[in-house]
Amino acid sequence: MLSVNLLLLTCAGYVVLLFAVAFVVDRRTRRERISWLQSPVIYTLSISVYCTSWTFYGAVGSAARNGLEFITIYLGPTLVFVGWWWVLRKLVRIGRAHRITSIADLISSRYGKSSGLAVMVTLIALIATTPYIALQLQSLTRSYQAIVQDANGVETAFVIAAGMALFAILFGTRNLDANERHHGVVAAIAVEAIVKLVALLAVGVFATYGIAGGFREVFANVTPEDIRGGGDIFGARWVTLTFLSATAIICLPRQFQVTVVENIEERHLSTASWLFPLYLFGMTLFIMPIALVGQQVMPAQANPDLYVLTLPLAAERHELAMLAFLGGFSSATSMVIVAAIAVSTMVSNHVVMPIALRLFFGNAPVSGDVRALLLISRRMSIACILGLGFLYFWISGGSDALAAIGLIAFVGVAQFLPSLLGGIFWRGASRQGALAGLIVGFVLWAYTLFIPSFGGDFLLSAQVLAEGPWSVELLRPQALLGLTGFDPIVHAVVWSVGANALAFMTVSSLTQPGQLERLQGTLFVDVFRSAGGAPTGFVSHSAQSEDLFVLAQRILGSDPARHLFDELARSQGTGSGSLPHPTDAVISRLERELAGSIGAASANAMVTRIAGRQTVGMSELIEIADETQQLIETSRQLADKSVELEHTAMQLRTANERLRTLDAQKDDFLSQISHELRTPMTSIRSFSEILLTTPDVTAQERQKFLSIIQEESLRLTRLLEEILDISRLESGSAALELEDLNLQHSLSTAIDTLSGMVNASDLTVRFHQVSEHLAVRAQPDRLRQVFINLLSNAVKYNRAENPEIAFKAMQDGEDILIDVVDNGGGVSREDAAIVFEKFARGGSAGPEYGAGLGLPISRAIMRAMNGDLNIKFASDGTSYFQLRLSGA
Amino acid sequence: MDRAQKQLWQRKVRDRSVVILIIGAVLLLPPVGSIALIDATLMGLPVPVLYVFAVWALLIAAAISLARALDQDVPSDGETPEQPDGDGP
Repeated sequence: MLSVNLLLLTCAGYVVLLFAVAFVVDRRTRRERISWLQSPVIYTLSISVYCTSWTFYGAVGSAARNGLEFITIYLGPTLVFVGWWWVLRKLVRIGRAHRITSIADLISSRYGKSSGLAVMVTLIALIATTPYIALQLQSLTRSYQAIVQDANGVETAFVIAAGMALFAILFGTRNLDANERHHGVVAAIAVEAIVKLVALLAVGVFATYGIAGGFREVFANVTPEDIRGGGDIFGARWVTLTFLSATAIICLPRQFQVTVVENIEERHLSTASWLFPLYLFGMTLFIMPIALVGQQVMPAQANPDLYVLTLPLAAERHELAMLAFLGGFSSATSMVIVAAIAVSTMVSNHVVMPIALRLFFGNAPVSGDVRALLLISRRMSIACILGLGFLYFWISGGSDALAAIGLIAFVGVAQFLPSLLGGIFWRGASRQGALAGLIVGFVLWAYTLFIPSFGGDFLLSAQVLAEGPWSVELLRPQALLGLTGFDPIVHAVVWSVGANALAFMTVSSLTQPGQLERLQGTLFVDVFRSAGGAPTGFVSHSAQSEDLFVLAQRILGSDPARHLFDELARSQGTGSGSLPHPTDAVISRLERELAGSIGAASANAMVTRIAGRQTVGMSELIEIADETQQLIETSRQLADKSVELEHTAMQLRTANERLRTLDAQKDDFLSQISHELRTPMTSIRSFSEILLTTPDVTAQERQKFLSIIQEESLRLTRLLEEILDISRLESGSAALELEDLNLQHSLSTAIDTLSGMVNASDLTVRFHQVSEHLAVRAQPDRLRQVFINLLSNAVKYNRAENPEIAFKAMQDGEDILIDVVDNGGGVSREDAAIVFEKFARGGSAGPEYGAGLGLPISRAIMRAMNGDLNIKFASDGTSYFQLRLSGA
Repeated sequence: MDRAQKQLWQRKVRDRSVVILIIGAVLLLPPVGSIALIDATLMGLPVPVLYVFAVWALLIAAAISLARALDQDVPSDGETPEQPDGDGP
């Protein structure tokens, strides 16, 4: 037999260990961030507070009675976590952005910070948690009794309840964290999560391999009835239980606490999305084998809920029994502690504080220490919650099956689901709708499930349960309006959750949400659109900084309040010594900080009451919106204007630059023209001076000088004509009359004109592919001028031994291209860039080769004839001219 | 990853997560789930038990791969606000 003293000593040691863990972590996190503690694994382990002694002991009992059905309690949470992106992520984001402290806070905050709703949710949570806590007390008491046969059940339960209340008070309410996070408790329940998993796996391995000899042997003699249990797996009850467990993982106050409130980083959810289902998988892997082995080896009257403990006990494996007891102890304590913290926060924030505010602070705005009151009210709430759990256990005398009690709680918290999901996905959901749904759902749950669970010992007698009140059959609690043939749980869910959702939707669609409600609704539904922590309302304020500071001191404590106000003052640039101006931002921030401690509704009420803050009316809101709209419009116009201005300035800059370039070009042109004109003028002047001043010039000499003067005059005239020509062509004033010409004919004429010059220089002229039929549109004289120009260039500049020039013509679409290639190598790439500029000559050309206007004139002519003249480079680096003319 | 790509990616992940959720629910609930309700054993284990645990394991595997994909681009505290995601799928 396992020694009682050893058991108690081990338990005491385990509790001390948990205390130590919680204490050390609490102290260290206050000084610094502990990274491994804020890891996704710890977060996931804390979520596993879902696995209470219902899982540890009750699941085996459930498997023994109803076969595979027990698994539905874990399938629902698995589905919710796998699909976390949809609901959980949004809840966590909202929780962080609005500093939500509990599910009651979330619902009240969403529906316009309504205190009525907060009270309603708190009430339901309190009542629904009661049977759940009773379940833990019952399982712990029974497991203790299994070891200590003669222990008194009620006394044991009382001692356990008192011990748990003490633990929860010590660690849940030691301080008031601004975010309502409890790092120490989270660390302790993470340790417990590991202990219960290891314990259940150990017992499972022992039962499967130690007693039965393997999985195959466990399932060897199993009948299909053992799997089906009551014969309803994959039936209505299966669906209902899956739905309930999926709901519970979101709506249970303690799950909301660990998943949303204690969440440190949103990305931890992504790990929890698979690690938590994996944890559940591990917890349930051996449930079926333990139940089957228990049924085979244990006496028929043994309670299947306790197989986890009684199997090792019966096999005299005391160390394993001790581990199993500790596992059950862990499951129960972690649930009770977190649930007590979560519900007590709700009770003190939404029930005690508002009443206290009305009673004590009705006349004097700020007096007394709210902080102390808050702590006392939380501690009292925890004691009350455990007291209620104990009372439930006492009155109901404990149920035969643990799972049945847990399901009552599940259906109770499922009443939050319509308002919760509606609140975060439906902008039109209204406060009245939520309130109506919650009241209808709560009343039906109490009538069809909660009160009947006492079996006639509480409120309704056994006779009323069986025959209905005043013997009206239609009102029978478990067959309401004659709905029979359903399992009580299915019956209660259909009635309570169904009516709840219908009432919620109907009333919401019929009522008009208030201003604050609409604002909050938008902030919640569109939480991913805003950057979070958005303003909680437009306010006109008459608050004094001193009042706000005193208020913050009362609730947050003097040090955190001073830090907060210093920070706000610094951000306003007023220095840390003075108080910040009570702007909207400051008041909103303060309200959010206070909401972290006492909930949104209470924070709103306090700031409104004590600081004289008022929410602005609708007309003022519209005015503000109008002004904002006008501002937006004005700034948009300003932006347009400035873009326009910038554009114009750029155009001006471009035009200015072009003008400068043109001006420089004009100066160049003038200086070049003067230079070109001066050379012939100089020789004309000097020779005429010689003729005038020297009387004894011989006739031969005079003849020579006069001919030079004449030549130079002709050159001058030609130059001036060319300049005139080019300026006429470029300005477009000399419109050329184009006609269809035979290309070959034009070329031949040009060569004939130059025949003397060509013959003198041994230049060979070739024609490639210049067909007789190629015709172009051009002015014949001008075209000839261009050809002559190019030919004479070739004659002048070609230094090759056997100078040669070739004409190649080809069709390019509508146009005709004529390549003029000579074997002199052409111009270099640098020269190519300037040869079309006026007065430019190739780098190798001396001054004797004309004024350098030939190519510019040729190009001007070609362009005037809708064609062009360019220099092209062949692949071997030599260049050639290319003419483009439109075909006839 | 620029913002447009990031949004597209997030939309994709959200869609996948919802699809996995729906597939899981369909497989684990009647009428599809009840198909596994046959009196037979596979590897010494009853088919219904094997079926439920297998689907469960697959769901966990899918969740792991989804979380892996997300780790490449984790929505953190400094995340830029996501574009409106409508009123849920």
